Amino acid sequence: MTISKVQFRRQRPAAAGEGRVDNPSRRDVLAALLAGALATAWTGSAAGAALKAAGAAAPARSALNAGEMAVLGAAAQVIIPTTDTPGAREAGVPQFIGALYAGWMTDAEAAAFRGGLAGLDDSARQRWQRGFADCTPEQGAELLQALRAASPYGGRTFSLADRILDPKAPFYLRLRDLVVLGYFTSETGSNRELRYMPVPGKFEANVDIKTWPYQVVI
Amino acid sequence: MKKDMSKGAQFDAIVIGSGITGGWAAKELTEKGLKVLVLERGAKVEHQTGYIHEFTPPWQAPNGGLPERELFARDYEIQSKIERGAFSWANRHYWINDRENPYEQVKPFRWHRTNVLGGRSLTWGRQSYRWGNDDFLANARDGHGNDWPIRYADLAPWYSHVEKFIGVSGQPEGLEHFPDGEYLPPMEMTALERALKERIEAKWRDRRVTIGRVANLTVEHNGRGACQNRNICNRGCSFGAYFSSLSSTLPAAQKTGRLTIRTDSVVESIEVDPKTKRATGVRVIDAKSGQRLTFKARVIFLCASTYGTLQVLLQSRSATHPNGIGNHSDKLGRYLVDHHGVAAFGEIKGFEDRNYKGRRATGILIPRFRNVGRQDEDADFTRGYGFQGGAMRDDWTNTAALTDDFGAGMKHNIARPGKWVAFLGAFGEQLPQAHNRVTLNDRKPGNHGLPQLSFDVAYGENERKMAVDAGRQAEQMLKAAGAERVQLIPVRTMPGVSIHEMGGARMGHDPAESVLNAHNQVHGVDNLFVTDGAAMASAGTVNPSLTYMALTVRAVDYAVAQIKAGRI
Ligand SMILES: Cc1cc2nc3c(=O)[nH]c(=O)nc-3n(C[C@H](O)[C@H](O)[C@H](O)COP(=O)(O)OP(=O)(O)OC[C@H]3O[C@@H](n4cnc5c(N)ncnc54)[C@H](O)[C@@H]3O)c2cc1C
Ligand code: SF4
Repeated sequence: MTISKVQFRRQRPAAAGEGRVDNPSRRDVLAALLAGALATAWTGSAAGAALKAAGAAAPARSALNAGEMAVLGAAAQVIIPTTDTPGAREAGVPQFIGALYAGWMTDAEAAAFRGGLAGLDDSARQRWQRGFADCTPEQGAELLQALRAASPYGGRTFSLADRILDPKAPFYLRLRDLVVLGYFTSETGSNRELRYMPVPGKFEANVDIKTWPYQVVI
Repeated sequence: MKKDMSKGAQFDAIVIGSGITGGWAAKELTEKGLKVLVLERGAKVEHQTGYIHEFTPPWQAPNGGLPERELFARDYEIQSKIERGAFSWANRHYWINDRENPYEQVKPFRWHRTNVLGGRSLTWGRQSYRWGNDDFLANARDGHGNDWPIRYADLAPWYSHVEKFIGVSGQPEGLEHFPDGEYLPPMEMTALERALKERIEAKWRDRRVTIGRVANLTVEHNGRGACQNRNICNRGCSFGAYFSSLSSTLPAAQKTGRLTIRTDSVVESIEVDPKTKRATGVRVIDAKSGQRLTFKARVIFLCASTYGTLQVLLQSRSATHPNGIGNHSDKLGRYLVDHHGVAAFGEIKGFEDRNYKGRRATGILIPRFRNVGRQDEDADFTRGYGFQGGAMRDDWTNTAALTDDFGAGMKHNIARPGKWVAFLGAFGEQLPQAHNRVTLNDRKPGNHGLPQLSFDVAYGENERKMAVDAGRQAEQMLKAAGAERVQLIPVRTMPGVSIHEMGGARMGHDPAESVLNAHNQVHGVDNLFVTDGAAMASAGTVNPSLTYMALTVRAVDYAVAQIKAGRI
């Protein structure tokens, strides 16, 4: 039996302002499962699909709406702005988080996240008389700074993933950490900020940082 | 086909398990001319095509690589808790489904195991060290555990045989208690590791810092490709650049034309003829159909991993062996040992201008220096420990978790190589004790209705004292190397997490005190051999798998000689 390699593709960034979160990878995997190609190969979305098929409670929640996606996109761009390299929006981070919202977060996390986005939007209307998505980057940064100051985190900060999994993490931190995760695991972040080297070949143990100021990632 | 195999085809030898030891048994037995059947409980995985996520880039990882909590909690409750990185979205399909394979924990115990062809040779860390003569003498010297029936000299040629085939990169050090082997060129140390080496060796003349000896090929070897320094080995490696059954031993066995592999074959028990006292066959449950089959052969090698092997022996109950094979004196399942430990890490400044490129698939090692050859006056514990560690720059996941900052500055900082961090993790030797044991719980049915294995294992006072000492020594060494705020973190505190399980069917001269003899032959069942970690009479201070491999090839050599002489 041959086990075919199933490719997962993170969604291309949706057209500006578009909030549709469709999940093509899940469809692909389902098709692959049906075709019998994946007998033992458990993959992320395959697991979700199989859970659903097995009658387990699969998260069936509606995606973030266009307005919420717009707030998320603006906030992500403030957290990781465009510099000499692309920012969070160009890297597809809002869509990444939208997909986590729809298919990965627990109900409680999803509710808190949606509430957090609404709160951010409200604070923008109070402070700047416009929605967060219409604020300038400076205005957005001021709002995030205030939210950050008002959201102390008491947990341990041992690893990024641990913090993302901590139910006590406040909305600000959840948002910030997911943006960071999404960016540095995106195709853009992996290749433009970090150095994605699938096959480095050599290990050069001691090089001058001036010639190689990068992190090699897989 | 299945019918043919159970009725018609006759095998000279059956090997139970296709992991590190089973692969070796299959290779050696077929190369010596025997027709061999390998029985593997797990599913088939093909070298190369079976490594489904080997080249999956981070942006295609499901959920950005975050754990799939619902699935893990349901099906991988134990496996997903394995030490960082060993279990992930990229290799989840190698690990066993915990829900379908329950076991009993009288005391908390983590049983980490795979369920595929190749076993944990696919997921292991590949650290490959010889044991020294002190390790084989320890039991006799201090009276804990029984005397090993072999010494280092008995294994040395077999260590060489194994190393030459699997390919181990490493640096010879010329230390008596930490023997050198047959090495491919060593991997290189980072700038801070070199400094650690200089500073620690300058301060303590009896301590050596060396590069980890690892079964990754630094040069092409035996038709397998050189390591590409990706360090994602536990997804599988199409280059064949690390040793696994799939890349190395099973293909070699296949080449002889005498190998048959049957996957999805759960071994239930071994049949013993009450008259001849010989093992005659292996009872198997077909994992897919539930059908029960029996396979016959002249000699049987049990290589199902320590606890898997003990389970099969315990389940093999008959009038002749009412408590399981080899359990005539209630020693089977007892004297389980493993490594316990503690880890220390610290930031070291002064190397900000140094970096490295690529991802090296090993770390550094400090061989045992406590109680070597004699009891140190200032040591309040018996036996010793070694350290494994490394010195690398923090990566973005750690740097990102250090702050809750946002903006352009944060983006830039996270992307840069982080601070230099050095860490040392102790591997301490657990004393063999009769009360650390596994048994069968017949009242609790597990997979396929077989009884659950029940773990009653705990670390003791000696382990606790040794860990305190190891923590103190690690802290002193890191400080001597310039570390500022050294932090100790508990690791390997729960039995099972080290995954260096040993014992339960220990070797020994005295059949009343042991299950196996000096050739891994079950006392009283001459054609049944156990060559995995179950055979170990003590734990040593370095990773054990190379020793299991050496024991396996030595036992095969003996078994085949016995067959030729007509004795078994
Ligand atoms: C993450 C990790 C890192 C490790 N790092 C190292 C390291 O750096 N160095 C080192 O020396 N060791 C290391 N180990 C330990 C090493 O993997 C084991 O010691 C080694 O694999 C044991 O070999 P084995 O043949 O006994 O068992 P395995 O390799 O586990 O193979 C046993 C096989 O038997 C099969 N089996 C079990 N029960 C049955 C049954 N009833 N019927 C049929 N088949 C059965 C299993 O499915 C499996 O395929 C590590 C382990 C893990 C998990
Ligand atoms: S680091 Fe080497 S052995 Fe590991 S996967 Fe890469 S090439 Fe293979």
